[in-house]
Amino acid sequence: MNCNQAQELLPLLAGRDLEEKQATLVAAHVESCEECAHSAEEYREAQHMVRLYAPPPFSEEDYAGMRRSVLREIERGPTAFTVPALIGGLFRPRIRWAIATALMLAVSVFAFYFMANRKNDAKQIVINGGDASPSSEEAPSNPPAADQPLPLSAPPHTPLPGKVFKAGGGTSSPNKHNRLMFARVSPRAPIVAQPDTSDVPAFSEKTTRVEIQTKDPNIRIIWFSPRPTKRDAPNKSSRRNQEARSNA
Amino acid sequence: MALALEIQLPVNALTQNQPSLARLIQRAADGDTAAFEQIMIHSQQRVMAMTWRMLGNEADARDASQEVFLRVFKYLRRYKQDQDFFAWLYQITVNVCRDIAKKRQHHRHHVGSIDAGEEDKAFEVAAPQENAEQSLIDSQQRELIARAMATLPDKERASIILRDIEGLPTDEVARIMNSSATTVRSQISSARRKIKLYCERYLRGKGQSSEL
Repeated sequence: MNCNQAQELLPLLAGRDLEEKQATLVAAHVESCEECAHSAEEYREAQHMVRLYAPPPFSEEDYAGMRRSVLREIERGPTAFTVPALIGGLFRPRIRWAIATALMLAVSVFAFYFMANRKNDAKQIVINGGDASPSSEEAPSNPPAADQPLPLSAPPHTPLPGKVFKAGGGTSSPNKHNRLMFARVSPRAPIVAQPDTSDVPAFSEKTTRVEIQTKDPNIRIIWFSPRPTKRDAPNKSSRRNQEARSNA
Repeated sequence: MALALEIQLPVNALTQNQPSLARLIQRAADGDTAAFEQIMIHSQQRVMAMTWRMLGNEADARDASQEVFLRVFKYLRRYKQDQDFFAWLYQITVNVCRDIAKKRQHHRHHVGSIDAGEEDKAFEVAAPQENAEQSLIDSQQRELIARAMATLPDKERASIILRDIEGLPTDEVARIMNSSATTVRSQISSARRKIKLYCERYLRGKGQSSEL
């Protein structure tokens, strides 16, 4: 055993806290090493001093006073809940952590629920669109060829190639500013996503276009939502004129 | 002095009348306050001494002792008869002292908070009165060890008090501290080393100042 090892064990040797085998080894080293013997003596002195760490002698009055206080508290019974105590209790570290954890869980559950609902809403749109009856007003008489690529952007008043259904399945006149269209393409024809920008620029500046690709690669939901502008008024009047003309 | 001697007795010496104590505990658990008062009389000196050693001043020691006995009464039904009552009592005492020390946050400097009168009283009465010189040395040693103890972390202080002052075996200390024997041994070793270093530094500093 070297000095470093002995120095580690000397505090335990002083209090006889070592196992017999270890104690014998350390004691043998201490006998042969003057420095370690000096340290061992210092530990013994320190331990002797620790035993002097005695409290002042409390008087019988002190003890009697303490007992009286305890018995009074016991007779008073469990303390009733008061509002300040209740509020103070909320700031105790353990309760603080518990509240924080509960809040985190609540927020997580709410976020999860919110996200799940959003997904359900998207699915609902697809289901509604699938059940919708074709609109004779807007369905083109001649569907385009199967291999004809779909334009990715088109003005809301221009019907897309293929069968177009109104969202919700109603047959009333659609709101031209906010309508949902479903373009069904023959399964034989894979959709080639090539943006057709020939007739779009003026339109795309005023509208927001949202495209949703469904599970079926041949069905894509395109949602046009024009930003409200001052030009809306003339558009409405022209629409009314158009309807009047068709009625005549 | 008599008090100090009584406190240093091993646990078993004070639990010789365990059957009567067990009866008292049973009655107190059933709500008999007179029996509980008898239990307090049996154990008040130990509890007060322990709380004083842990917290370092009389006022805190009184408050802590009161809280200890209130907890003892509250949880007396949970006490199992095959347990050592005083070990259980020490466990509660250590927990209460640690709670109070945390709350008041001045245990690190508690020696400084002892007012001069109290300190004099403590050292004057507890010291042997054979001669003035010996009394002075003892008084200085007590002051020194009190300062050294104040520098220890709560767990180390509790371990060394239970092991070196109360004389409990390491396994018992481990049970009280809700820890392993190895951990307690390590805490005791660290505490002894710190106390020795503190005393060395103090005596070295004192020697230098006396040379100047």
